[in-house]
Amino acid sequence: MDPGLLDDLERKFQKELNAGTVALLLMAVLAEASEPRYAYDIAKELEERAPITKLGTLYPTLRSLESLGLLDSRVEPSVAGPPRKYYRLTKDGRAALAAWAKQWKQTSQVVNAVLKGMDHA
Amino acid sequence: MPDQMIDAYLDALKAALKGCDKALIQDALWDAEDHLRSELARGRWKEPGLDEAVALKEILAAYGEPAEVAAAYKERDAIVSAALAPPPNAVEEDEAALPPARPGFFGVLKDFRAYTSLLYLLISIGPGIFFFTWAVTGISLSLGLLVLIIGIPFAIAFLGTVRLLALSEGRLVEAMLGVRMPRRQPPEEGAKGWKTRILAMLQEGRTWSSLGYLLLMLPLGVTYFTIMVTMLSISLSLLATPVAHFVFHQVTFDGWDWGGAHANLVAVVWGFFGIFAVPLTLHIARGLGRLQGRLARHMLVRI
Repeated sequence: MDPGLLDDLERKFQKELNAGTVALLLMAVLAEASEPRYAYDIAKELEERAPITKLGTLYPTLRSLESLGLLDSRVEPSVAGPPRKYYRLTKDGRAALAAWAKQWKQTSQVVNAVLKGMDHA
Repeated sequence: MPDQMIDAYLDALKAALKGCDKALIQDALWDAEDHLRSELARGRWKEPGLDEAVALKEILAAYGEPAEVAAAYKERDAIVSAALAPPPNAVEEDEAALPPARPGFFGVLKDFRAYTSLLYLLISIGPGIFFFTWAVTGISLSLGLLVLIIGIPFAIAFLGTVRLLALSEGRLVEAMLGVRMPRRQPPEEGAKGWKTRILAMLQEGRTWSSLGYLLLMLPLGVTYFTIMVTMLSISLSLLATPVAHFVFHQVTFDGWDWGGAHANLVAVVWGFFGIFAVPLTLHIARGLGRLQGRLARHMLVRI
């Protein structure tokens, strides 16, 4: 097989995985914080703790979570530079996060168990 | 050098988003510019002697290729649109089975958007008067003070407020007329220095079209208010005639030559007209609301 194609598939697989997990991670980071957080700040934290995706794809996800009512936001002027947008979880967002985290744990457990079988073979 | 690189990236992102909703493009460009400039500023602060071109290359790589980022915006927008669209069954249950885009004559009574449009048209006279006063005061003071040096900073500050007012009007239009509008102020391009920032604001067509919009909102607001109050009073009083006549015995038709028609008949006929006048009013509200939404998109959204 063409190694370029293999790389492509790998990227595609990562992208498909990220489709759901990035939203979960963003919400989990927000759930840890006691105060609303600035979008850029959230992106930087994820870059450090879970570098699985390009930073440019985090912002559309934040926006879509807000449009769905899972996050809400307020814009505040900053000391230097343009006004900043702060996000926090809504009540629906917390409920969704709890459900999604549970789903993720189940999925990862099941997948890991199967992958373990592969290692033994 | 870093400025040109950021601009080139934003141009590429804009090209990759070609054909998308204007407001989506503005949001995406805002996010990218805010992030890239924040990263650069952070880099400068952490390491004063930084080679900015090299640093920015890394920052751009971490942000992602324009095509990749554009794809993410398109995908997430599609997810939201799909999630927020009314479920297909709900539409089928409607006996009219009409999509919300064009309700039937009486279907408009169930159209939430028609009522919010009506409310917008009734209240837009308030912001209309305020916008007009603000704009006229700002323009005349700017021009008048231009003779003195103080006119220039004043004019610039005034144009800044125009952009803020345009943003807030956009939020109102989106909430009440259901037209997607920018959700954020365009980036102030903080890293570029105030001279470039001001030049950019003056060169940007949106600043001037926003100013035009603010001026236009007075005649439009007055017209909308007049039309809607007239239509509302006519249709509601027609509808109320039979009630007033039969229940409260309040209506007398003295002085009307109806060719000898019985007062009861007159009341019934008027009430019958009222049944059509109310949805007609809502249709007009909906139509005017759509026009106003289109106008706002044209004049308040950049690109």
